[in-house]
Amino acid sequence: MQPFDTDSRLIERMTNGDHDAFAEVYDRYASLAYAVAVRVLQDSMAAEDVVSEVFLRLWRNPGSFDEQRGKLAAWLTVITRNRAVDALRKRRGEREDQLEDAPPAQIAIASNSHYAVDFQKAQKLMAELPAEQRRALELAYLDGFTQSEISEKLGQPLGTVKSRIRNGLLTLKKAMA
Amino acid sequence: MSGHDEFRNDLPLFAAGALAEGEADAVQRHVDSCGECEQELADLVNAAAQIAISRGGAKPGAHLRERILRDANRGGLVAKARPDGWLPSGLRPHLPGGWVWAPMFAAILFAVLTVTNWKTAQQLKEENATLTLKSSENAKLLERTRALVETLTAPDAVHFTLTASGKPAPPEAKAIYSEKQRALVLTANNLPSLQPNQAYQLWLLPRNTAAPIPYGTFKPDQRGNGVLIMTALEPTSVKGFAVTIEPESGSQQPTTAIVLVGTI
Repeated sequence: MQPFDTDSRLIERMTNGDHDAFAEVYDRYASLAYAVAVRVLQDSMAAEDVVSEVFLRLWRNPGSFDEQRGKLAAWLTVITRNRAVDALRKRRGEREDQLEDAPPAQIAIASNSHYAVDFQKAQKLMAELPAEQRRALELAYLDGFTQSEISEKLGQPLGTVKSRIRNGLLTLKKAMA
Repeated sequence: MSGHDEFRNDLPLFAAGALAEGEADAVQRHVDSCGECEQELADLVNAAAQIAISRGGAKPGAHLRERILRDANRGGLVAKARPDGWLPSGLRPHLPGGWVWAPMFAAILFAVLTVTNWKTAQQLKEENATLTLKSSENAKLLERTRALVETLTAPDAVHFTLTASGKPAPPEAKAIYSEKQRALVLTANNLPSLQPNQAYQLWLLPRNTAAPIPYGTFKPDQRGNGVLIMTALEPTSVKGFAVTIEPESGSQQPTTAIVLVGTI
């Protein structure tokens, strides 16, 4: 039976060109990255391209992950989200006449197969936020809208939107401390 | 409020991706020079990741794993760990008196040159990694284009016509699959629109087993048209294809009735 390696150990092995370590990282976190990309892009093919780019970027430069700044799961989530939003905004710029509201995603919760990705904890944290803060955060983080676009979209003052995003994220940060 | 305080106040908005490009650039420049804000931002970015993590996981197809591991195996540069500093034994000071400075100076010069060369090599590696990534993206695009053309014209390509009966403007789809090219092209027309959290999912009906194999998902545009292109597929002997309506992240097994089907 293979001994269990921490994420840090897998990254270290990848730095030395260990392909099996890369495969292990993929198997641990591909479902998370894919779920994020699908949620943002609403397109499984485009999501696959983003996931491929993110993991290959990690393979080619494992030193770009700094464990001092957080878990590998969170890092991959952020990189995937940013790349997916870039693609989404580019698509919006090319197809302004077909801009649609992003529908609320109902992605099935995967079994918590790895201790480093606590889906249930994240769900609980988000559920405990006031609905308007959660909505503002999702519009920004998952749908790629700026604060001004959210203000216009929801018909709310810009200051209100800023406060909701700020307070919501500070609450999440405090809950994770 | 000082400039620092204003930037600090904007950190949650920056971490949530809510700032416009110019505003985000200004915050990034401040963070690059402020250790306190850098740490605060790192904590906020980790917190923001929970927004995405709370949505749960969705299993991508096996073909994606194969594609990514294959692309990694082709070689892209892997950054090596920074080499530990060392001095060759021959440069260790061992001469008495004034002569001890000569090898020490040589050792210092060697160390400086080693670090300088490492930095240059490291910069070159990073630039090469970027070029390799761009080259890989172009290669990927070329591969998909090649697969599309060769699938459409492959001698063993079989055209499946999928139809649904009893509707005024029947939804239909054509699936062109080549086992040798390991690629599939699907075009669909007149499909009904879906609920926001749904997608059409394509299933391969294998010749030798009963269970349908999940393939990709797609959503029709406003005119009811959709296209699915898949490459690097597992070679499979095919009896036909079917389409069902599934959750937008896809299913491992059909959960609804077939809406389109075509078999040999």
